[in-house]
Amino acid sequence: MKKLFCIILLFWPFFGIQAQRQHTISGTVVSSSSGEPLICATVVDVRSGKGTVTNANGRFSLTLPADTVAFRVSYVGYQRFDSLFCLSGNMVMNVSLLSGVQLRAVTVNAERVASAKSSQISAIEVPMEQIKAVPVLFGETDILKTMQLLPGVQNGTEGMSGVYVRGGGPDENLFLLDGVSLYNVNHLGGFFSAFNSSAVKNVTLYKGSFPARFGGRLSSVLDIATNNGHDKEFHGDISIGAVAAKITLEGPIIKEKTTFSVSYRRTYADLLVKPFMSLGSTFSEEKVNAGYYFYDLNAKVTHKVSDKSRLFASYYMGDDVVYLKVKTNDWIDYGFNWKYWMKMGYNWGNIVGSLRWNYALKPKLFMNITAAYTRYRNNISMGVEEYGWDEDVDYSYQMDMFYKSGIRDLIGRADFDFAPNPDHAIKFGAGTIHHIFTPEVMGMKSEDKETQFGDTDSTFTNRMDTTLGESRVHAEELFCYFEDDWSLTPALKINMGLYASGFVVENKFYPSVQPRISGRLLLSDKLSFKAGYAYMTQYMHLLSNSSINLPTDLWVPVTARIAPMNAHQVAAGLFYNWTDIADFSVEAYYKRMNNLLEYRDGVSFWSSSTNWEDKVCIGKGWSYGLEFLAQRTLGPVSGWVGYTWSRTMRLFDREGMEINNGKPFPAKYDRRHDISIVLMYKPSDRFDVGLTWVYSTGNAATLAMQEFQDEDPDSDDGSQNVYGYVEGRNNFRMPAYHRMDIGVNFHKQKKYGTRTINISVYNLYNRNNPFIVYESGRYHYTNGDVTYRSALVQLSIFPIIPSISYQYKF
Amino acid sequence: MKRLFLTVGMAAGLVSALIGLAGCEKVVEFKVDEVTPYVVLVSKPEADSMVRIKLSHSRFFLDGHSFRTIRNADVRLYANGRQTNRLSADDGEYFFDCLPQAGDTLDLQVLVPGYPMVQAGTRVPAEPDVEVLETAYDSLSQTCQVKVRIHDPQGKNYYRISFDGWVRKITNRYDQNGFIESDTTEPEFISLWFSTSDVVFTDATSVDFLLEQGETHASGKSLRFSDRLFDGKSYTMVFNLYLNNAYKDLLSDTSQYPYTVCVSALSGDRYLYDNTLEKADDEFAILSEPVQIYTNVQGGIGVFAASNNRKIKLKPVFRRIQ
Repeated sequence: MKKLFCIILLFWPFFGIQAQRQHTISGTVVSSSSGEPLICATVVDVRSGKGTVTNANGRFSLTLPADTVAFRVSYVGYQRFDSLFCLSGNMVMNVSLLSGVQLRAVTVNAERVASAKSSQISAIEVPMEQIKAVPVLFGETDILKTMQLLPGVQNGTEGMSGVYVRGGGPDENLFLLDGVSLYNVNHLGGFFSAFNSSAVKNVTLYKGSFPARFGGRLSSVLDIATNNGHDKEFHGDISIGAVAAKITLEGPIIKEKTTFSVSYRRTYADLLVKPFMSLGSTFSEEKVNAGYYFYDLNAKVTHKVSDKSRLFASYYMGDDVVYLKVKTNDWIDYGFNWKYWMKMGYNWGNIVGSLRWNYALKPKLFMNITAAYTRYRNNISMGVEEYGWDEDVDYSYQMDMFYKSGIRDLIGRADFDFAPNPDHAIKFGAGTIHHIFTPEVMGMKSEDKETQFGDTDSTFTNRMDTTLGESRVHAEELFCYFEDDWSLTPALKINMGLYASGFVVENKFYPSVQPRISGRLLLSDKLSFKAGYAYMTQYMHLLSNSSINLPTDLWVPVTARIAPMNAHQVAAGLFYNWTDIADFSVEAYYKRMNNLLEYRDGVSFWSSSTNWEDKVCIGKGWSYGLEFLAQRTLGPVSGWVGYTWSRTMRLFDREGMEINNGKPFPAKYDRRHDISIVLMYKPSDRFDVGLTWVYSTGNAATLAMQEFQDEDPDSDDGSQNVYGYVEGRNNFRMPAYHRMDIGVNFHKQKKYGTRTINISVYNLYNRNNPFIVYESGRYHYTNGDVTYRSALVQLSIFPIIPSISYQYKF
Repeated sequence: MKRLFLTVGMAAGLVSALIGLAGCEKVVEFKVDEVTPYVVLVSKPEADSMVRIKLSHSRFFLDGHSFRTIRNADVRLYANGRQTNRLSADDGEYFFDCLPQAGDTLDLQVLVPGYPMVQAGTRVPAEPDVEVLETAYDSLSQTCQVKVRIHDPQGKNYYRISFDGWVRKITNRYDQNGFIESDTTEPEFISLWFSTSDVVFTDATSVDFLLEQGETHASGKSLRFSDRLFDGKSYTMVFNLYLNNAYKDLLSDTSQYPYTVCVSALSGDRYLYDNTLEKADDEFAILSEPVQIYTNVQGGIGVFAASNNRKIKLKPVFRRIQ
């Protein structure tokens, strides 16, 4: 079997090569207005029907028989490019598409990836125009929250950015920013995502049947490409919203050769509050400065060395910062002089830097070499200095404390695109990731010093210097892949491949060979059946403190005791394209996951990294569901209706690792029904309106509904305790979640650009959706009698929230 | 620009006002089946001791009323398949004419009007084969170190260990000159606090969070452990017993005031029940996963699980403990 597999791999590229003389048309498709490469633009010979799509760099390669070619390039929102010529040799065709198709609507377009004709299943590409038109919390455009409106994708708790795809956990999603993984994708505990929409060009979500070029996570891949920058003119936009302000600048450094794009976003509430901070202090000598903010910086430089060669350098930096500084002037208390200062800082965030070289080795073969660095860290620091003195004594106290955790990756990879003929689009590559985990390090340093002046001065010093926690853990991840998008017949197309990886940690090697396959069978010109299978392995876990994405969540690698997680997923569905009216799809999936982790009963989340292997249980899970999507892409009214029916279960029945007495239980985010309706109306270029409505079954939670009394097992006096009885893990359903949001954009052409005012209302009908539930005592007044009763109370944090933002684009 | 700031300012004000005004709390309603109580059966038979069974109703967690005992139940106890006589019943407590021995099987059937039949069964474990190898006492640190050896039979076995000792309570008084005078009370027999770093206690809940990777430290007035790491073998453990400053120990006269170690062989059900009970009651488990208390009672909740205890007197040797 292995031999057969090797033979197929070796000769795969030559399958389908025909005897007739063939030539290759290769080139790049870019936007004429910005010079940005267009990803997934369709390149086709209309006469033969053979075609391809552009890759992530806008490159394509199409090999055709020597004959007359009716060459056509198309991309949504752009004028079609047509050319008729005789193909007598290899040729380069760089195409600049003119934007100019007036759709008069925000286009919702998943078709480029998941259309009836693509072999890919369970993938959705969401154009940025659409993401920007979806009304969201505080009017702050949010990529992850828009993803949560798609079938099969769920949010965690109200307002949070946690993404749960087809029954997977929030750590099972691979977030790629220009091809480099990003570990923390949240700001402010998940209320906002780390992606500044102004810097993003393209977003594609894979929730199953993953192409073989992706690996490392079980449940989804969110592939985000950032803007390269305009290659002819300087452009930019400035916006200010209820929460954050943003600025983006882009343009040529060397015209049509070197471009740049820079985006910066920052919240500003702390700056507004700063002048009033000292008013809160009761001590006149004390100066207080405290606040919270987050920021993102995206920067990218692109250099076109030649038609064949391009260089990319991109950088992302985002942090959440909490700070408190207290400082006093000298002051006197009972004749003793004092002064002190205190500083506390808490910051967490990512840095991602990458260098990429894109080179066309041959007309049919493109290469991408990437060197990248990604880092997530979470630092807490505190410092105190106190000084006291008079003529007899000099006293000082200094203390510094810190807490650090994080993960760093050094990445090197080479990727190749090879199109031997129109029936094959082959991708292959290899790479390595050196992971450096710093699960938790805590330290404290203090010095207490007292000098007494007299005939002979005497000094007493007390010092402490201690560091606790784990040192760095190094791990090596190696991978290689091969995939082919293969048109066997005009009706049957398959995408098959293999991702092989290995992980070395604690002198233990975990190998994994992961087959991937998906196929499409055209049942008619507009109707297709698709099916796919993917096997995924994940070598790291996020030790999460709660359902909220906290910065203290820890990334830890698999260990000699804890094996990697893996998942098998099958999906199948029908896709129907009703020309120019709507696309319909219905997709069913089944996913089985192994080596999942859950905290043991009663384990505290504090200091999660210490002996963390003893605090978790290993088990399995499965999820199945049905997803329905109907979307309209053209016309003044566009949008989609998505519905998901799903079930997600967990089973922890290994001896000594039982949860729920070893019986299956629903996962925390097991939701039977999930509905999202997104509607957009654009009657003119001056005005557009977006409306969303979401409904989902309430989250599962564990609640001790009954109580009973028994002796404390450690008591020596027979004292009785009251214990809560939990019937099963996640035995209680929170109330259902639903909400409607609306957003209106008013555009106006100004002298130097376009001004847009966005007014949006989150939770239009003020639904009290549960954020947390807790027990609370309440007084009841009946006929003059007052009684006190306990009640379970749900707290909602987002009532109706209107917001306004202003944007000027030039 | 001025207009922009005005607009943003107004929007911020409106948002704050709406957040403040909107009602954000709501009482959650429950279904009838979620508030229906269970029959709670608690019985922990010990070898050579009379069997006592306690029956009560559970209560919905939001109801503040006291727990109601069940007095009208039809309770039947079978020892090795033979029904035993009920001796008495008092306010939800039922006593039986049965002194179970190691290896006996006990089965219980309880019928409470309006509830399905409640059933449970247990087997009395064999007396633990234990010896105390060494007991050293350091009067300076008031620490007593005890080495205990367990000869574990084949199969899954569960144990609990505790230490008791005679002490006098110390009360300090300060006189006018600030000198301390200490009064001591009459001797009393108490459970002693002890600790161990033995790896068999990895699962213990009272694990110190400042430990380095791989280290264990468990302490308490009793600790449970399984034979997972020494199944069918002899195994030695070391314990350190402490007395805090409020007590004066009486170890100098062990003939009159002996210390004892109590090792109990627990049935598997008892081990799981006590472990979950202890975890559920851990007040320091902040932000922790909820604990599902183990039950082996069908048709109700609680536990019916036996144990067999062995007590050994300690004779300490006085020396410094490093």
